[in-house]
Amino acid sequence: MDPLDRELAEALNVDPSPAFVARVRARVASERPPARWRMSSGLAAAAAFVAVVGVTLWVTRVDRTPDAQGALGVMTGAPLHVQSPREMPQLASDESQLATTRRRRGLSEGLTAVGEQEGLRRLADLAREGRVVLTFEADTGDDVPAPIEDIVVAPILVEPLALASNSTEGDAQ
Amino acid sequence: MHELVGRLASDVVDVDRDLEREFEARLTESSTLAFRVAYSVLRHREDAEDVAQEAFARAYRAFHQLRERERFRAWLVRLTWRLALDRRRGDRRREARELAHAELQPFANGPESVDANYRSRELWRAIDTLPDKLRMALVLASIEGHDLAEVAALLRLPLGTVKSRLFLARRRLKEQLEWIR
Repeated sequence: MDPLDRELAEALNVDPSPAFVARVRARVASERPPARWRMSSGLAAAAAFVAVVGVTLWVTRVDRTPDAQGALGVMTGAPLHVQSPREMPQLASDESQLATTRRRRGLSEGLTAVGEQEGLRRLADLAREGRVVLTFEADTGDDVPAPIEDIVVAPILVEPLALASNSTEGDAQ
Repeated sequence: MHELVGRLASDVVDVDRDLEREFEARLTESSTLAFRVAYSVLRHREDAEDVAQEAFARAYRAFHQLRERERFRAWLVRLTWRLALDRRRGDRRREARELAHAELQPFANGPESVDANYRSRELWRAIDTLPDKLRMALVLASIEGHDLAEVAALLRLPLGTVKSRLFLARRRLKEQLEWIR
């Protein structure tokens, strides 16, 4: 063996401490993220794409469903059609159907408070059982605007202009 | 869709487990190599261990991006070398202090150690004068019994290039080290 090679081999023949590999393992373990987050970027992007497409399809389907449109109407404060005890069973069944649809599709209960909804539901039940008769009287409160009367537009009279004679006009020039 | 996502997730976990096992095997077979590469630059055991540890941490973070896994050792060597050089640049002052301290205690282990210390110091001083390319080839050829083909594979260089670099490195060292000729 060449003396230089021997010197070099001796100089570099240094081993790490016995705990070195264990320390490296501990360090590597500290770098390790939780398993559920260990996705390659490609897979993460694919999963995100699938999720976005799924949500888009779901939202589109909900918007096109007729009963969902009805649900949106109720949620946006459209007037509730409560007229007579005979119509109430239909209304109640509509409401229960709507609630079922909402639950099934995970929709929120709308903008009305839960207590108000419960009150309306009880009222509808009582009306259906005939214990309460819902009637709508003509509202004569002060805040009701007065009926619109006929609008009368006074005739506009335009007087004819006085025309000057030709001779007078020529004198002036 | 839930099934698809579930299948994807389980596939990802399986891939992760395979990667973990593979990395563990690489770590076991390459830990001494990384340490010695770092040591050849820093010549300080604890610093070399720190640098090798950092190199493994970085290698772990990027391991899944490594396309050619059989190149891991070469990749690790370059990474460790670079990190060690960075560390040494930052530690110039401390190095100077340690060198001064070593020179103050030449007779600590008797006259034989004086000779060994002197030779070792001169050898490292000569190695430090080599350009990076020559130094790296020389160090890799001198550790772990690497032959020329292995050094060429580690440096990702043609065999002829490695031969010429080693020849140049040895010649320069011999020029500087009279006692070795």
